[in-house]
Amino acid sequence: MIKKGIKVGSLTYAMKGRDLLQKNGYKAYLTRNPQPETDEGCGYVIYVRDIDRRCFSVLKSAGINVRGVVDLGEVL
Amino acid sequence: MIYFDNAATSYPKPLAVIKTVNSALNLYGANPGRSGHDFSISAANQVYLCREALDRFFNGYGAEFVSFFPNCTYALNAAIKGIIKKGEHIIISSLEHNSVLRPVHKLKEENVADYSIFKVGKSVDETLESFKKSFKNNTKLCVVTAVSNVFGNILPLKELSKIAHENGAYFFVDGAQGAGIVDIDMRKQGVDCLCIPGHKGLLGPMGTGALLHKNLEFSTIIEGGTGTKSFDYSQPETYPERLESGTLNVPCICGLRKGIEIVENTGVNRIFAKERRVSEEIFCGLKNMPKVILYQDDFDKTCFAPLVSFNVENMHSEHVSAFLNANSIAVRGGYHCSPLAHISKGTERQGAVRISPSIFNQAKDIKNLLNLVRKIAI
Repeated sequence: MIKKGIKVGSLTYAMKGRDLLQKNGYKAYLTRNPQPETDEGCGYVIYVRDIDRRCFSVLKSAGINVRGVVDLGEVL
Repeated sequence: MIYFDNAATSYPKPLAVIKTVNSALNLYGANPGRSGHDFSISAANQVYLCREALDRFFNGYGAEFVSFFPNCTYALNAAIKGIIKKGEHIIISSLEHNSVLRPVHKLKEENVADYSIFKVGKSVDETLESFKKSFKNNTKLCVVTAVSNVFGNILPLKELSKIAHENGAYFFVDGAQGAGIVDIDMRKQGVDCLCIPGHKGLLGPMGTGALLHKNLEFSTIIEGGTGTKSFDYSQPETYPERLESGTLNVPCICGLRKGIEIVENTGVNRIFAKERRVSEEIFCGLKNMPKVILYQDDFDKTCFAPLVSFNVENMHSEHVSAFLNANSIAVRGGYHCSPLAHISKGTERQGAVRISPSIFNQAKDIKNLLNLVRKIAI
């Protein structure tokens, strides 16, 4: 299975998002983005096991801007 | 040594704070927010936990709106110079420290902004009236201290912020003397930006300070590496990194979090009450000495934080402080970096001797202090 990470604007937002997702029952961890692009944010992503639409709503409701989803491949 | 100079920095630091700083040098020794390895992420986690603690403690607007600085002065500079644009007007109180007065005055010298000073009166009504009269059409910002570092006056933040907002101005608070001593609730008191030191009432180590804000658009006065958007030549817009260039003081930030925990567990009200009892005892003891001049008329606890300033007749405050120091009592004489406060009380010539206790002072400390002052004041 290909693993996905959620990109947000800063490391602080990544941590806030991780904690929020964990509180909402997700298994979420922080990891370095393996495919950073030059115009991107913090270089960290939130890896969420069993990523679904709800986790994006959880982040959005807390004012956390999702900047995309990245393929984490075999990194984890 | 008996330490009565907690308004300069709190001492002693709790053992738990010292242990936390020491162990953090080992446990969280990597650079937070830079590398992807676990060691770096665990350091970043500690920083984040302290942001959360500060946000919770001051009922702020989210951990992402808590930026760390080396001290309160740096935070105030970033806040004031970051929000003001050319042609705008600032209001400050007559009790402001140089950490507010000097950045504001610099803006005036550079023809960026003008400022007015409102007088903190003997009553809240008097203070509010003076504040209202200071507004101009272009007033953008009001900066006030939560507590005077010289005379201990507690300013009515909620009432002042209401007036500032009605006049379309931001309301910033210098929490240097108030944080951890009096209740500061950003949301309830309408504080748009709060700057605090970590090493005073919050019992953390020196080298820590923070700026908490309501998602305001600050321009930056320091730019540099943030660990984010490396190819963007402009400073990132995202908080808190926008205001934090360079490596953070992780061990001391960990210590600050421990200090906050101790203050939270003890309770700000209990700390205030204990320090008030000590101050009141000192105040009453000094009041009975004929040569002592006191500056807090009735020492009403709703108006004054736990510190006592005094003089002995015409003696310069530095002489009195030196006499106490020679007898192993640490207080602060002089002008406390607050010329405005001294001008407002007419103490420009001799300054004042400031006694600022902590929860760690004991009855024998008070007795020793009063016995010594009695030698020169009766």
